[in-house]
Amino acid sequence: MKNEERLTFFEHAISKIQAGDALESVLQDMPDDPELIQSIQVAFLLHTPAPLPNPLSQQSSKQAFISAARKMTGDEKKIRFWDRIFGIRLATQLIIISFVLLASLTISGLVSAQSLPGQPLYSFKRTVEKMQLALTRDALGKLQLEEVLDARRVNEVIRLMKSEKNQAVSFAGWLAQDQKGVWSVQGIPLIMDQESPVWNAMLNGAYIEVHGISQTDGVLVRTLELRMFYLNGRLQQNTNGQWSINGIAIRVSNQSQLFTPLNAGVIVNATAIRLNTEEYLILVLSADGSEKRAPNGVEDLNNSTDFLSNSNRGTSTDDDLEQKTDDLLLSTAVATRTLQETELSDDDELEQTPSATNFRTITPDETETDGEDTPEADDEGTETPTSTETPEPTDTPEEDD
Amino acid sequence: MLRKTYPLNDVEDHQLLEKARRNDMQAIAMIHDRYYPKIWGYVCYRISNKQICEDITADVFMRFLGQLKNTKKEINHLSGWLMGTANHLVMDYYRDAYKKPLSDLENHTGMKEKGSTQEHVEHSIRLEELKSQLRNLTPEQQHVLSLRFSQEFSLEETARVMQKSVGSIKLLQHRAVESLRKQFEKKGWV
Repeated sequence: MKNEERLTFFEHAISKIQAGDALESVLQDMPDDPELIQSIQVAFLLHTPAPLPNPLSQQSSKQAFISAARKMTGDEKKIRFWDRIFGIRLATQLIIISFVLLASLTISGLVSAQSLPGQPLYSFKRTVEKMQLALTRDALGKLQLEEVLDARRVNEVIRLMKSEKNQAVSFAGWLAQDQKGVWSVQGIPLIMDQESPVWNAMLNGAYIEVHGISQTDGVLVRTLELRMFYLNGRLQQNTNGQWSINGIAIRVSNQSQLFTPLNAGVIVNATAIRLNTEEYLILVLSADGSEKRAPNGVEDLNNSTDFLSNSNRGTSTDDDLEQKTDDLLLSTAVATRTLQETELSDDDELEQTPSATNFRTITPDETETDGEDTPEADDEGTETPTSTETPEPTDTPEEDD
Repeated sequence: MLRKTYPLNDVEDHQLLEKARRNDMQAIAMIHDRYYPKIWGYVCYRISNKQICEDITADVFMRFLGQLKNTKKEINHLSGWLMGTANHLVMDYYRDAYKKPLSDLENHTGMKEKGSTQEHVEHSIRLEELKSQLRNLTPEQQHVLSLRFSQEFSLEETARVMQKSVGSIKLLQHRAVESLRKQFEKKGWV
């Protein structure tokens, strides 16, 4: 017998069994196939109609079931917002929190990108920028980012000027003087007191930082400072003898304080000022992690500033490290300008330039003894080259030139 | 175009389910009334211990409540879901029993009934043997035989509950019976 036929007969037999027919009655109509008959006998044995449940058990189960259903619907109504939040698994909670934080940071970042000084989101914008700067490890990348941020500050000042808002601003750029004698930084006119232009002449062409108040016709300058750059990386020298730190071209003058000899491959930390768009002039250079102790044959702070103090102060007042640093900054400012003007390649020549000689006559000490402290110096209490020291007009490089 | 028709019971089940989802206590109670005897019978067909049968049956309904509001795994076929859950719970029970065998003989159906005749006891023992033979089958084979011989479901009903085609159910049932026939033959029952 074919399997298909057997299945049909078997199904027919099951229908009869389910209907309550006796085994003999079911087998009566079946063909004489031993396997089929045995299968029907098995089905007959298997057929055991379900017993009735105990009514008490059923009632008890129903009560428990209804009670649980009521509790569930009641609980459902009680579930509040925070219950739902806390009901979520920890991993999902973390994902949601991260997403919300990221989204809010992105939105705030986008909104604050267009904010100007004095606006509520401006501090957030600056914080994000500081974080970006702090997270940038590569020295070259950091400098590039600083350049971008400087450009952003300049753009903000221009927008403030256009919107005629008087707001405290800080920005950086190259100091320049046009043919009409107007001083400007990155094209932004600087409004200064009468003596400042004289002092500016020394910083002409330097990369400086301006702090002041924006006005419609420019920025009223409160202070001008040389912008410091902090470089960190491996010292290298190319075939032309050009030194660099992590690919950033540097120059070293005899005013530079070198706490480590210039050896290729050494990891160094350096403080520098910007010489031009490509190069940086080193002020202080030390090996990374080493103590700043001047080794033999290396210029130290005293040596580099001796010529200043001996000639002008009369006595060596080695009292204030900050003062010396200021002095050094002044000398390097002069060196910067001189390098740009004369394009000297030999650092030794720097000391011989008239600018350096002129510099000696304009130390802060000299102005203090003359009792000619500027109002800025009193206000700020600091001795920045531009705000606290007013050089004699006749002693400026401009005058010499 | 042919329209698919559903048996009256399925339509009623569907309506009951919808009402139960809206927290209609009457519908929830009706579901219990309608299915408790069926689930009980299904479980008892495979487990002899009455107390365990009651526990498992109650558990099926509690799980149903838990599943009622689950929108991800919505119950589409009430009867199929309840029977399927009962099947899983019975399998779980035997799995646990295999790890921790029960030794309480008093719970044995036939033994604890007072005044049992010799014939009755023999029948009970035979039923126990039958149930133990059933356990040698696959879960699906056990499920199909329970539905057909305890619940007296037709082929079509069984196919709907198990969400399979009628042909598959026929084959599944045939293999299950064949397997049992060989076992019974060895024991001389057929």
